[in-house]
Amino acid sequence: MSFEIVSSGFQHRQRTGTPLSQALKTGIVFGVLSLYLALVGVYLTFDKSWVVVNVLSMGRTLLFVVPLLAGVQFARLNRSQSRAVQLGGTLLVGLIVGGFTACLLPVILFGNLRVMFVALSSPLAKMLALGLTPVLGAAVLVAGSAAAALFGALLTVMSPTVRRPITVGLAALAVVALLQEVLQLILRGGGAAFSFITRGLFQYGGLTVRGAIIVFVAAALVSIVVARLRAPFKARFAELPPGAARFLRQAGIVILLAAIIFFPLIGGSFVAQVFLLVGLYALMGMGLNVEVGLAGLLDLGFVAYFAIGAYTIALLTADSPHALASMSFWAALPIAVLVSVAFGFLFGIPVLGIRGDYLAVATLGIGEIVRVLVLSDVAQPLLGGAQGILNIPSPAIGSFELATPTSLYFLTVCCLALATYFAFRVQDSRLGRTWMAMRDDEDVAQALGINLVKTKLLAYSIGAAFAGVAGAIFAVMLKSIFPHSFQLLISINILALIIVGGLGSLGGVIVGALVLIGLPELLREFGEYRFLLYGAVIVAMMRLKPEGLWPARIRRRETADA
Amino acid sequence: MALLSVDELCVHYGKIEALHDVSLTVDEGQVVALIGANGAGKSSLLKAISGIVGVASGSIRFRDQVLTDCAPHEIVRHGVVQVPEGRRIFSRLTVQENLDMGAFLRRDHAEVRRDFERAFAMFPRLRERRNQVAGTLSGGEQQMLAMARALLSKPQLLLLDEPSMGLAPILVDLVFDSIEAIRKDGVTILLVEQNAFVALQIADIGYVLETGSIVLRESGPALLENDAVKRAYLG
Repeated sequence: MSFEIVSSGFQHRQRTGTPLSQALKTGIVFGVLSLYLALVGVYLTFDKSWVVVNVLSMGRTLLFVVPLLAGVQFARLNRSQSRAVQLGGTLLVGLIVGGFTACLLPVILFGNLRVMFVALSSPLAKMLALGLTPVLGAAVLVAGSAAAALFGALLTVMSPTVRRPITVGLAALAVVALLQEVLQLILRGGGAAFSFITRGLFQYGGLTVRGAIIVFVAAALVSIVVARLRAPFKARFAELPPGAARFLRQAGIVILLAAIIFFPLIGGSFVAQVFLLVGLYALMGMGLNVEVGLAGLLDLGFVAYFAIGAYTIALLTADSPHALASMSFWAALPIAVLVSVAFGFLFGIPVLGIRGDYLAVATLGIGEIVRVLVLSDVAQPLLGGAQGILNIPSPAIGSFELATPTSLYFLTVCCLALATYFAFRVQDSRLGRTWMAMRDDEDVAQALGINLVKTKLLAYSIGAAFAGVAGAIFAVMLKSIFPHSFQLLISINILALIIVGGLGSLGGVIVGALVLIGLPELLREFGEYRFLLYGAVIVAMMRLKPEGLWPARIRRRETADA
Repeated sequence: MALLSVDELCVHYGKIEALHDVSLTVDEGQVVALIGANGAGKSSLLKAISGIVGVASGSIRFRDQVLTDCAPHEIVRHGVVQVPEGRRIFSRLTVQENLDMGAFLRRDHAEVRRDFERAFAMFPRLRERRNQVAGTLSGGEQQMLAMARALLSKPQLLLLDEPSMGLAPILVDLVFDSIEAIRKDGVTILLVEQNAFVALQIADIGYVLETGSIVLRESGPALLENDAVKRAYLG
């Protein structure tokens, strides 16, 4: 019984009812969604950011995006109905969603539920009423929702040549608005050429009206041009000799990769910091991918090896009373890796005979034991307890100190490149094959002469090595380390990123880290709600694309055969 | 001298006694069938021989080696290979990769290539499906893959656990035809089967196991004629 993450055979079949019942159902589902967003405070938080400064807040946009999506959903389910039914149904859907949301107005104004729902405050009432009097506001809200639903339905039924530019334009607008802070930061860092763009599009806090129009039109135009050129381009591409086509495709991948790698150079230190974190998580993802993706050993205590790598660097290089030596980072790095490997081996021994779900719980325990031990009074004289270890020097090449996020980012990229190459080679090796056989069926693998003890311990040790490198860089990034940096959440994050990326796939690790670590960092201004979004994205991913964003080779074959 | 001899073997799962004083011998080149009802201890005996479950007392000897305290992967090295019950293949590896795992321990690469050809000659379907992911094979094909994989580990003694389980009658015949073919290749076979009728037809010797003990040992044809066996297992 190995741990498998597969989509279940359960097929959620949409039961087709009458258009009326579907309109009611869709309206209620999205109405409840809208209520939920209001109650947990999403609308209010988003109301503080702008899509277009002083014209349209993100909260108000979201208020109408929900009925719009409801309209899309209803129209998709009722494509074959007559126009009159589609129109009537969509209006009903919009009215229901708007009605649900508008119901909150009297609740806020006359009731008092703030004890339970902090978000039900007068600012929310003002926002829901769109700045008008409550009665008029409620009417506009409901009517606006119906209009939004109608727009959504219209988008769904119109011809794709018209729809695509509109949706691409709106999506571009949404992305630019969400990332405006980072974009402005990047553009400011880019010098005179970019400052022209900055002034044209943005003002403090977001897009200007002109900026919003420019972004929408530009994205729509690009989409039209791409749509026009796509067919002839594909035809030309298909005519190329296979060698040339492969070369072009590989060149494209290399250029894309280079663009991603060197992006922080133009992005400035905030972007570099985010990418550094993405790189560290990708490194750990590579390691956990060996354990979970290849060997099928579900490890929830992976953060332990990360911590061990970090503490080894701290103890060997820091200018602190806890330090055991004052080596250079470069001398300490291999030792940190070796120590992590040794602990991977050591922690592997007690869980050798445990499989599947039980293994997850046991490793979870190991990860926590490490954190608690480091925090404990017993280890305090050695490891510094809760005060941690301070004054970890930056690595230096000659007289050049790798102290900035950008330089550490490039160190991470180098390590990641090496790690990826190693992981790539090991996965197609005899050892990799052995891991995969053990993952698919431990008993049979044993019956064919595979030494399970050796194979498992190798998986734990090699996986730990990757985390050790990440921990080492993490220590010099923060220049000081504390036990509370090594929470269970990190293990869970790494597991989530390799699953979302595609279990057992190296490309998937990188993509998963970019999406699950990079995006939330870039969306920091939305505070705690980014985790709501994060959770929603993971659930949606597992529903829609359970094989991951970049499925492993074998998975693709499986789906192709099925 | 017997190829495999099991002497007064006892196996316990906690307090439950699965096998009690079981003795059995398999001579070189024979097909030996072990029949018995559900829970009689048939699979436990195979698992004890291949080292997957521990032995409480008694001994297992293969040629002149004592297997009793060997680890499973060491027992495979001695040439005793088990095909576990229930068509257990590596479902996410291809057919080819599954077979490669069968030859995992072997270093005689030229010989391995020849065995690949022999396996493909015996199961032509597997050659066609070489690059297919094994999880997408049909039930019968999976059983064949499991047997071919065991053959690639070049066993001297092949332990087959319920090879007919869950297969359509026509596939059962196919599987037992290939067991005959494997025997002709010089591999000794110890076979555990609930389907006593097909098992005893190809068996030189049959053992009947009841609640952990051997109650009968006869030649295959004799057991087929035995009244008690007929009543209990042949219906």
